[in-house]
Amino acid sequence: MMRIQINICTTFNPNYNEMNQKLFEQLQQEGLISDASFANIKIKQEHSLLSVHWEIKTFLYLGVLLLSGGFGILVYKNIDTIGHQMILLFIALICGGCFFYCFKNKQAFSIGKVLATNSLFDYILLLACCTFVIFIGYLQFQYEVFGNRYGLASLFPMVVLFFSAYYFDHLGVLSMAIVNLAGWLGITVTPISVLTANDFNNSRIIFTGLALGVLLITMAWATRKRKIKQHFELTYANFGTHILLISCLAAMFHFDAIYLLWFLLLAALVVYFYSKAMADKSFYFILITTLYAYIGISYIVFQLLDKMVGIDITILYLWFLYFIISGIGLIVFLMRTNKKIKAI
Amino acid sequence: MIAYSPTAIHNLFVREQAAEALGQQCLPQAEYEAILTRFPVIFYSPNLFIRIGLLILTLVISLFSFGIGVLLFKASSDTFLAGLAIFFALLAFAALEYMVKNNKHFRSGVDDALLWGAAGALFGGISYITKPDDLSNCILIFMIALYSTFRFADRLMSFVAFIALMGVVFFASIKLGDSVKTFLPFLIMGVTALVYFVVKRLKSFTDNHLYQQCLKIIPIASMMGFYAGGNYFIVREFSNELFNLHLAAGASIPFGWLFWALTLIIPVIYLGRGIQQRNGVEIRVGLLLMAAIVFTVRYYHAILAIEVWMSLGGVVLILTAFGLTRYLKSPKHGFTNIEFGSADAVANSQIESLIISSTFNSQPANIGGTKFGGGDFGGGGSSGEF
Repeated sequence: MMRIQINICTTFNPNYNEMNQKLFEQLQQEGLISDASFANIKIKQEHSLLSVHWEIKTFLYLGVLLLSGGFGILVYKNIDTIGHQMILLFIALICGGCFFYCFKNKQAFSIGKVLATNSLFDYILLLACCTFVIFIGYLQFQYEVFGNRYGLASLFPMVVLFFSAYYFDHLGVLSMAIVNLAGWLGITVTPISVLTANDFNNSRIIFTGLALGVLLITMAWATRKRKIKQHFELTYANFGTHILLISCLAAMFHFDAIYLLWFLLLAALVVYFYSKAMADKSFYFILITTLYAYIGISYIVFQLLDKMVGIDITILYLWFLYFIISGIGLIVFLMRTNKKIKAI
Repeated sequence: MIAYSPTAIHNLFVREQAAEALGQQCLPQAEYEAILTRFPVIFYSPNLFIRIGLLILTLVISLFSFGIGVLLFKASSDTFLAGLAIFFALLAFAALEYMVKNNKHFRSGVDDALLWGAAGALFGGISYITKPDDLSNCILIFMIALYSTFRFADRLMSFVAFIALMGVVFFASIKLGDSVKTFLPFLIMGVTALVYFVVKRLKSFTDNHLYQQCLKIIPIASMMGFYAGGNYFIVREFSNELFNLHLAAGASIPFGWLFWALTLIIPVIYLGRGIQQRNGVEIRVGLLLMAAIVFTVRYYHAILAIEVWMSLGGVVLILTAFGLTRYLKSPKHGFTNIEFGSADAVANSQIESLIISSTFNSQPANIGGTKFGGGDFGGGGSSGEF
């Protein structure tokens, strides 16, 4: 019984993931680290701290999500008994309270990066922005404050979102603002539903997507050039690159009479994004531009094969061979690029 | 036993540890660089995104090579197809060994894809030809995954092996008859506890860093499995199926109180132990299972409407976070609210912002809906709004 208990105690010993003292002892004996460093490590280990930063963040995220969702359903179900004015007042109170807190506790504005006091601040701002959007939507739905000018009804929250993102320095609110901007123009750009919620067979959507992509890429460029909130660049560039390249591919498939022209545009964009990614050493952008380019090239190859061979069993062989050969080629390309970036 | 060079993995481990020490400002730069030269890396392990790209492409190549094989042999019968799958699986395993041995691939995407593809094809082929029952299927999966775990130290494979082992216990006890079946929850709990303690023991051996990642994931899986074994919802619904109890909606199972107690107590114990010993993993598992308590209770006792629970839960979570933020303004009892590992901080905040933008509704639905449902948008480019 005694033995089992001892075993349980040692197996529950927690500090394995941190610095391995045995290893540093060996390194010290080999003379690779000095006695002072070893003593440092030993002290650090004895006083190691466990960060619960992301746990608290998750609490806040889930809390705000559940609360706004729960309130939404509550309001929807009880609309007959509470009355519209009361509900509007309630939403306005939450929104106003949260904004009040944010204005009171904000750091001084700067065009550089401003670190929030803590993650609580970030999520209260998020709650404020969410409730503001709901408030405007409710107002328009029930009282048609903006009349038939629906554009205005979504423009207004968008402006507030962009303002809050810049004024309080919040990436999440900036993403919401970009999603809102896209929605104002009529397309969905959230990562999960960008492909499913948009009808890319509609030439209108394609051109809007292209315009939005260009706008966002320009914003990314200006953000860096003018040094205004430079850390926002990545968010703009991420949305912009995806929407631009997806729209370009969609244009290629849709206007199939002149698909080679669209392919030229795609190629030009890919070259631009690729060289930019190389300069920034961004593996992420290299991967996505490579994959978008691969889809475009494959489409061209398929079109050519179709014209040359026609529908036959040989075309299957050629397709399969194309995927194997191009796959190997792309692997070599990615590995070389990886090496090149690491060498810079 | 392991395909990758153990010294090379050890070198990686030393480098990681040294980087950690450097990051915590316990090590001067000069000593860090001395360690780097003393422990070189020979592996080819590219950046995460390149790894994802290589993984996708390797899967594409494997799939279409198989397709060419099917075309060439004009595979007519399903059995022949299954045989071909086994053949390709062996080919992929050989390619994997070659890439690891000669090209020094280590978590490069290529080796991940080849391993998963080979293991999947091997299982699919054998299982299709022999048409075994559930128990034999689980044993087969367990054997393939265990081999892959030992040979390639793959996290996912070790997890699959664990799940398959649970499957083996489950189906074996059903086969053994009612007397064993009755104790199924305790059997599951016993086996998961055993796995947990064995793996924790293994971790204390000196060369544990070879299987570092597997040894991290299995304890988490077994803690979850232990809870699942005793959870009221799982026990009740499974026994209802297995024993044909035909329980009425409100009826309980024999010893229902015991499983209710386990459902409520285990997460609290995990969380308590985690806090007491400052073990981040146990804290997270405990918190996750707290949510499982809420769902289990709510499933059988619909006391309040779901939206009330959501709102209350939201308030409780925000208040807890508020309290913790206040409490941990300066570090207390070894806990802190400061974010470590600032190298990932930029990426983390980007991912966070993407999650926020896709889960929070930033566009009032009715505004957008009215606008684009109407004639405004279908006008084929004639309106001057853009």
